[in-house]
Amino acid sequence: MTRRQFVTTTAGMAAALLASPAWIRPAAAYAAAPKPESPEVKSLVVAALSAATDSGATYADVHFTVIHREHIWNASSPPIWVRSAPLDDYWRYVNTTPGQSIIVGIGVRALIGGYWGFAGFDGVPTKDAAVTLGKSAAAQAREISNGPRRVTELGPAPAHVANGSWTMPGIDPLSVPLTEKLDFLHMLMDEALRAQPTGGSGCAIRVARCEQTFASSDRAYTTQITYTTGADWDVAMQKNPEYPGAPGIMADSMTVAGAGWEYLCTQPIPERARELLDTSARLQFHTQSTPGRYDLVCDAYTTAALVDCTLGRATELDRAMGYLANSVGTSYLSDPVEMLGTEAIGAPAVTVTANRSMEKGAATVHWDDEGIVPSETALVTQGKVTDFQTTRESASWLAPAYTRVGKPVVSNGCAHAVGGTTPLTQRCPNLVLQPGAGTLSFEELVKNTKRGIAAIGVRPSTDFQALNGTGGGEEHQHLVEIVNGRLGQILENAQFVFRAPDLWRSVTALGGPTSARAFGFERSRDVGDPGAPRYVSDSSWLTSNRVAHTVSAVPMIVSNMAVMNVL
Amino acid sequence: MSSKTMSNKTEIPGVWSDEDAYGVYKRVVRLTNGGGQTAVRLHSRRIGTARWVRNRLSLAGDTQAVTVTITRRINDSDASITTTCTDDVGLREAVQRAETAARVVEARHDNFLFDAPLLPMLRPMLWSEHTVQETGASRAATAAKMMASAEAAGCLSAGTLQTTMDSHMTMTEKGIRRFYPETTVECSLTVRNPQKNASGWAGVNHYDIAKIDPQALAAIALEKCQQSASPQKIEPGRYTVILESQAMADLFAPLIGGPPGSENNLMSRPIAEMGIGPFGRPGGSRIGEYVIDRRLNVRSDPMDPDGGFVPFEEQSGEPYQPVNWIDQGMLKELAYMYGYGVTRLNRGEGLPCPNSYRLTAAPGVPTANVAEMIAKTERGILVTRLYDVKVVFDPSVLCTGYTRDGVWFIEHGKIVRPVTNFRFRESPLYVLNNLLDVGVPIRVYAPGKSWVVPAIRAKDFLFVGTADAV
Repeated sequence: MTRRQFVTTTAGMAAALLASPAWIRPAAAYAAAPKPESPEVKSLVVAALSAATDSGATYADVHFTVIHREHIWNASSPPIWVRSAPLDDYWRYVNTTPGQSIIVGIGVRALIGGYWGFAGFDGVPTKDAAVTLGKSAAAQAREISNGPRRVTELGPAPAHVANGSWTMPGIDPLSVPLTEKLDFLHMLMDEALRAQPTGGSGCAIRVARCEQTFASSDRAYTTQITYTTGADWDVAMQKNPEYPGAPGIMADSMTVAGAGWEYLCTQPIPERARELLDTSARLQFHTQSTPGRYDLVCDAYTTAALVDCTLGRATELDRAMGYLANSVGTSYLSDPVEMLGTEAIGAPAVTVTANRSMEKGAATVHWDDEGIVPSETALVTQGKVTDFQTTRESASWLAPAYTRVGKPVVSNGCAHAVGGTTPLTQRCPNLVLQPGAGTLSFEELVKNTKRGIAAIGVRPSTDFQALNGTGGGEEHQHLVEIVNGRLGQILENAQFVFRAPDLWRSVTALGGPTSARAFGFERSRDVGDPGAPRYVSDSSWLTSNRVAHTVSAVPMIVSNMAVMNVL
Repeated sequence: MSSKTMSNKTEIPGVWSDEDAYGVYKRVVRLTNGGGQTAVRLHSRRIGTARWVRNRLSLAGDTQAVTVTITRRINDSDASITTTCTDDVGLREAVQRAETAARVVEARHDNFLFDAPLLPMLRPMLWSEHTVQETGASRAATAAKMMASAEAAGCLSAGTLQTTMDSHMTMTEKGIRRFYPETTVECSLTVRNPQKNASGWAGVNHYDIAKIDPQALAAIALEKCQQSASPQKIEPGRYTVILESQAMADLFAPLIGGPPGSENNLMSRPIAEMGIGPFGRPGGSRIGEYVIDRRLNVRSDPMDPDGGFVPFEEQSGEPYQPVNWIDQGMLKELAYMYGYGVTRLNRGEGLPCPNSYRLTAAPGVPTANVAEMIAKTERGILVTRLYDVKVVFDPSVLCTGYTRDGVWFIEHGKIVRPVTNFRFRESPLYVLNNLLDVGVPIRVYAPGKSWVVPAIRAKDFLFVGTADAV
C-alpha cells in the first residue's frame, strides 16, 4: 500500500516525508475528537505554538477546533401544486434526510517581520505533526518577509488567561437524540398541514456545537464551547384557486441563534403555525404594484435584514480598508480614519451597537479567537459613524481616529478562526438597532400610514460596497399595500430600491422597546457563496464556512422609498 | 494514462492516493454493523496560498484537508455523515452515528444511490506537474511581480494565487470504485486607484499553471482600473451590450453552475417534467424546442481540452458523459440520475449534470473578438463582470445583479468613456436569444468548476438603474 506522505513546501525546510500513520494519532480509548480541555489537545496546541515561536515567530497562535453539525430536513413531495393527497396519506410523500458532520482541524498563525504565515491540517494530528505545522507557519511567514517592509501592529494582548474555560449555557443540541429532533420536525409538518391538507410545508433543523481551544504566544490559553441552533420552516395555504402558487411564509421565530436545544423545543409551535397560516391566508390576494415612491413600513425582520446588509457589512474594518477588494468587495465607508466620529450616515434616531454578549446571540462568545473578551461598542451613534468592527491587528489601523476621539486603540473582539484550515479573519458581531423612545409596534406603524407599502419578511441584498440594494420580489418576501392604515393585497413582483445612506437618513419612525425582536443571519466571506440556503434541503451548510450573528431590531418607517416592478 | 501514474509520478504530500483512499473504504466497511449497504466518498486536498492586499503580501498558507463522507443504508433508510477524523476511532464514531440515524428515519423508496451500474469513466488530463511543483517561494515571487505594475502606477493591488492538489474518491459496496486526482490554480486580482473611483479585475482558474499568464492578468486588471477612472452616470435602459467572457459566465451561472447532479439544478429533467423552471412545461419538458439562438451550443465534456473536469458525480459515482445540452439552439437533453432514468425513462443509466460546461458558437458560425464587437456597435455598453447574480423568476431564469470592475459606454464603434455600474434585470435565455455576435470561448474564473465561455454581443439588455459603488 502506498503511504500518504507530507512534505513542507517552503524554502529552508528540508523535504521530509512522513508516512501517513505518523500524521494520524493512534487509536485510543476515547471519542474521535478529543475534548478541548483534554491533556491531549493541550499537548498538541502547546507543541505547535512552541515550534512556531522557536522558529522565530514574534507572535503565534493556534486554534484546535471541533465542529459537530447536524442538518435534518423534511419536505412534502411532490410540490404542493400537484399534490392532493389527504392528510393521512401525506407521510407517503415526506422525505426525511439527516446529515451530520464532524470537522476537526488545527491551524497555526505565525508573524515574522510584519508578515503572516499559516499552516493548517484537518484531523487530529500526532504531536510531531503539530510541531511540523508550527514550523511550517513560521517558515511561510519568513519566506515572504524577505519582500518589502510591512508593518503589522497588534493591539493590546488579552488579559493573561492561563486556563480559561467557558461553555455556552443551554442544552447541548448534539446531545439530543435524533428521535426527539425527528419528533420536532414531524410536529412542525403536522401543525402546518392540519389546517390545510392540500397546502405544503418544508422544514429543517440545523444545529452545531463548536469546541475550540486557543493558545497564543501572549500566554493566553482558553477553551470554549458554543452552540448554534435554528430551524427553517415554511408553510403555505392554498385557498385561492386563481393563485395556485400560494405565498409561502417562512417562520422568522426560529432563525439561527447562539443557544441550545431549548431554543427550539420551548417554542409554542401550534400558535406559531396558526400565525403563519393566518398570514399566508391573508396574503392570498395579489395586485399589481404601481412604481413610485412610498412610505415603507418595515417589520422587525426586514429592519434587521437592512441593518445586516448595509451597516453590518459597511462597518467591517478589513472590508472598509480594502482587504476584501478581491473577494466580496469594499465598503461605502471608504475612509474609516476620516469618517469615524464625523460622517453622518443616518437620521439622528439611528443608533446601532455591536456586542458578542447578547443572550442567544449567534455571535456570542466569552473570548474571541484572539483571546480578547469582546466589548460592546457603538458603530453608529445618532446617525454618525462612531466605530468599526475590529481585531487586534485592524484596530491599529484606526489609531489616528481613536486618538482623535479619545478612544483606546483596542480590538472590539471580532476575530474569528473558521475551523482549523482557514486563516483567522473577522466576523460580524451581534448588532442592535436601538429602539425608539415610544411604544409603537408594527401594527401601529401600519395604522399610522395612510398610503404606503409594508415589507414583511423581506431580506434585501446589496452591492459589493453595501451601498445600493433592493428588497422584495423573491420567494417568502412580501411587499403589501397599505391603504388608509390597513394591510391590503400583496404587490406582485414589487421591489424596493435603496441607497444605504439615503435609506438610513430617511428613517422617520422607530418601534418601541417592546417591539424589538432578534433574528439570526448567516454569511460567508467566500465569493460565490449564496449565503443562507435557498432550499430547506440544502445541506451544504454541513461543511460550509458560513458563520452566524444576531441582529436585534424594531419595526420602522422609511419615507420616500422607491418601488418598482421586478418583471 | 492511469490515475495511478498521474498521481504517483511524484508522491504528493497531503494528497491521498487511490490505494490510501481504498484503505479507508475497507476500514469503514469493516466497522459497519447491521447489514445494509455502505458508500464512502473521500476528498483530500493540499492548498498553497499567497494572498496580497494594498501591494503587500499579507498571508502565505499551506493547509491539508481530508473529508470522508459515509452513507449507510439500512432497510431502505439512508443517513450520511462527513468527518475529518480518518483514524479508526474517528471512523468508528462516524459509522455508528450514521447507522443510528439510518435506523431511525423513514425508509425512502425513491433513492437509487447504491444502484447505479459501474459504467466506464472517461479519463481527462487534470494533473499538472507544473502546478505540483509550485512552492511558497514561487507563489510569493509570482505575486510580487503581479503587484509591481500596480504599485509602479500608483494603484493598489489585492489578489490571491492558490495552487491545489485534490483527490476524489467514491466507492460503494455494489462495486462502484471511482478515483480521480486533479490540480487547480486559482489566480485573480483587483486593482483600485487611490482616489477610489476606479477598479479593474482579472482572473482565471485552470488545472495547469503553465497555461495561465499571471502577468497578463495583472496587466489587464491595471488597464481596466486606469481606463475606468472617474466614471460618469448615464441613463439606465435597454442597450446593446458586450458581455466579456467572465460577465457572460456570471450571467449563465444560475442555469448550469449550481450543485452538480440534478436536484436543485435548473437543468434537472425531473424538475422540468413537473412543469417547473425554464425548461419545464406541464406534463413534460421543452426538450426538442429552440431555447436560445441557433448559432449557439452548450456542451459538457470531461475531456474538453480547455474545460475538463472530474469525470464522475461524487455522491453516486455515476460517470459524466459528453452531453450536448443545447445544440444549435435546441434543447437536446436535461439531467437526471440513474433512478429517474430507470423508473421514468426506461434508460439503464443516468445523465448527471456537472457544473462545468462550454458555451460556444455552432460549427460554421463566424466569431468576432471584443474589439470587432465594439467596432460594430453604434451605441452600447461593455461589461467586465457581474456580481450577486440572483434568480428572481424561475420560469424565465430572470436575474438581477450588478456590473462590477469596469463598465464603458460605446458610441459609433468606439469606447467613449467609463460609466458607473448598473443594476441589471435580465435572463441568460433572453440575452442568448437576442444574440448579435459570439466570440471564441476562453476559460474564465470559476472556483471549483470549468467554464469555457465566449464574449457575446446582444441587443436590448436591460439595465434598470445605476449603482454608484466602485
